[in-house]
Amino acid sequence: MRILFAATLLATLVGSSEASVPNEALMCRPDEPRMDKFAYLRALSLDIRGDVPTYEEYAELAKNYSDVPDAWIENWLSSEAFVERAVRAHRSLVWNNLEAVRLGNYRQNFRRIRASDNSFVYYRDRQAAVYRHVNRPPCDVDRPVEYDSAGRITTWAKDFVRNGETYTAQVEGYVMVSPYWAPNTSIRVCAFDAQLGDVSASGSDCRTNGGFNDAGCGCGENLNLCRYGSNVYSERASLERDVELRIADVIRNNRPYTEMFTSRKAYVNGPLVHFLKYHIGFTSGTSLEPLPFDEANLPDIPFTDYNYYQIDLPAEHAGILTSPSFLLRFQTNRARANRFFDAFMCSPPSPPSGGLPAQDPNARIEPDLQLRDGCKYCHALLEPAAAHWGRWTERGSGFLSADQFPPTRADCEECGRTGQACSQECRLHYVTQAFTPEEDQYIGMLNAYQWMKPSHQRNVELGPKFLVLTSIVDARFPDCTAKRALESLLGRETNTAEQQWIKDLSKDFLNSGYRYRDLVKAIVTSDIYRRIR
Amino acid sequence: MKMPRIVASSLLSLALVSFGCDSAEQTSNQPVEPKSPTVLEVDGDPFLGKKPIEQGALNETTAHHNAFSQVSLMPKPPVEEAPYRNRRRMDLDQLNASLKTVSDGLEWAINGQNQFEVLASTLGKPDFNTITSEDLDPSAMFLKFLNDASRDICFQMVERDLQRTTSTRVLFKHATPEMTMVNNANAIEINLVYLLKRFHGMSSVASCDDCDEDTPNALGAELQQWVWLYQAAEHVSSSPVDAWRTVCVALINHPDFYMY
Repeated sequence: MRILFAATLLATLVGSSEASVPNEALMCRPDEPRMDKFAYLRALSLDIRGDVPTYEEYAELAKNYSDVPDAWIENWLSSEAFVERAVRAHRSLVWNNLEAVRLGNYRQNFRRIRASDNSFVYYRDRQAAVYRHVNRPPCDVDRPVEYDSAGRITTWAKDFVRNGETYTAQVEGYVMVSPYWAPNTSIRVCAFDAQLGDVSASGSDCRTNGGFNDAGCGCGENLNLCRYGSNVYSERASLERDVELRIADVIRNNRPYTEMFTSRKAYVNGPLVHFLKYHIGFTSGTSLEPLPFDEANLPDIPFTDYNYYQIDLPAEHAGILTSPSFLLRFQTNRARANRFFDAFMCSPPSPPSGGLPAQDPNARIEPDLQLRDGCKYCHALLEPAAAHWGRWTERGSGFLSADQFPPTRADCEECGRTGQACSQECRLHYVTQAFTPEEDQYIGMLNAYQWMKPSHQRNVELGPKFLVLTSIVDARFPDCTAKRALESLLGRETNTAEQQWIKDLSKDFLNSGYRYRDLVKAIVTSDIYRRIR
Repeated sequence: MKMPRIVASSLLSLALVSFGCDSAEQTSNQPVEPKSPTVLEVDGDPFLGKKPIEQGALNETTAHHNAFSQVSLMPKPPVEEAPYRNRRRMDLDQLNASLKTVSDGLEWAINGQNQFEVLASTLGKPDFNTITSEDLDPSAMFLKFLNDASRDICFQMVERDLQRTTSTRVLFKHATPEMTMVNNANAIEINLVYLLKRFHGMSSVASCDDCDEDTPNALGAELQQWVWLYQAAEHVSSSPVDAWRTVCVALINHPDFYMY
């Protein structure tokens, strides 16, 4: 009775309230939990093509279809716009940015200064001390080069004023050169900077950092060994683009998604080919050597060719995981493994949920991170995983072939144990010092083998591809791919109640031959995608 | 409507409390048999003090606080909500492309530089160097720049439309710049319907499959908001061109445009 009365009162109140709400027409309408066909079309178009539908598409949908036709979805998933969206989504997984990476060496870089006739003269100010024995001055910008009877560049005294002080330098004249970045032009270049030849008269290799300290080394033919202006950064952009093209290739051609991590395709353009041919020997912290493929495979294209060409890579490559961009973005093997575990296996190494147990401050520090208190929770997983990149150089993207860099090298062990000077190869890639008695056993071994259990040593030789294949077999990889795609399209994290859906999507993904398009289609055509809040 | 539902549920709660409805009655409709009263005293309760409490049908789910009310000790089971997709904001690339599509190729550029690219980091687009996750909140910052973009594009659109023939116009598709609410209200409404479809994909017109520019009245209250906006803008500016520019800016700043 009381309920009936309450309900009657309520009905009265609701009725009166509806009638009395001011500006009701201006209020937000309630959310429709299930999108109508127009809203659905709009969401599909934005998620698949990154753009709203056109007016004509809305009109056709209104006139001819009761719902968004399957053929439209298929068509959009086959479009170049979807490829772009997929590449965009993968940027957030591989964090493809080399802005913080310095390639080449600043001593390669040209500056330019105006001559009396207002034309530019190019010179490398940081090499001035080597050529003219005074910091920074250019050559005589108003006088052409002169040679002595032996064909050597002659110099003469010239006064310069800097900070109010006059000083004298021995300077040379300029020569005219067609630079590789603008081959149809001719520019004035200081003669010492424009010297030809890959090897100086005194035997220095002018294609490496060693050439910077030899006045007989210049920029070579067409200034190939030096850089000016925006071409200083063009190889970074080209390396980033290489990764995107590898991803795009898989999506565009509807290849198995796994090929993204097993493919041996790469893409190069003119600036990148030029960098790989002429600048790879100049380093300042990072190095792309030893080049992980035969230089002869590079196409013969000029610097000014900005088109991308596909090249084939050797068997040890593992798609984007061994691309220079990925290796330079994540410069340690641990960082590489961590990114892969986080982005593609959805299980980054992490400490126990309850926090780390208290440590005994008097305990001896265990040198092996896989065993050290406080470290072992992550590193027991991370170290064996990082070993998959053991043959790829850290702080670089070179490849250490088993022929040239066997697991142990006698010369590295000898120099490590006797205190003799070690070669650069030994210093960079082999254990040559033991800081604790436990490390002594690793002297002479490739860095990646240090602390590796025998069962994990094969990871070094099998490479990142093996890591990918194992994660495919144990379903972590397809599960994570389904989860990432789902969260990207739903715009939220998945919850535990949706784990079965992820499993189902993963299974369908597998059955489709790991076709990413099929995975996306399964999500966007689901009832859940269409239900909005 | 959302608000009446909220009002209704509030009133329902109020009514149930006022009239002493209890969960036992709601679920079983079985009257509670009073047992021989046992007086309990509750010390320290600021509301009950030492008032007697009738110990009736005390069990694990209900308890009497006094002789007249009974409350459930167990929370109502949560209503299981069906899984859903989050309504979310367009990212900058989507927004840039969408503005181009609805404006027929115009973009927000200053000195030839696309401002969504210039302002990318300010507006939360990750560079994956220092920022690795995308901020898709419709924040005050985002709305500020969306407003700037909308004004820029709508000014361009108006200027361009005035140079174009009627068939290629975007903003003045079904209403010429000379038409007003006084001399051609029907054309104004038809044009508004067209723009709502173009900018919002008719998502603002719930279940209106048959709506098109010939039947604007079918849009009802939804359309009336836009008619009101146009009318107000025309009244204030005395210029249909300015009124349509206002509508254009409002269409872009409306959540139905930048959320999906």
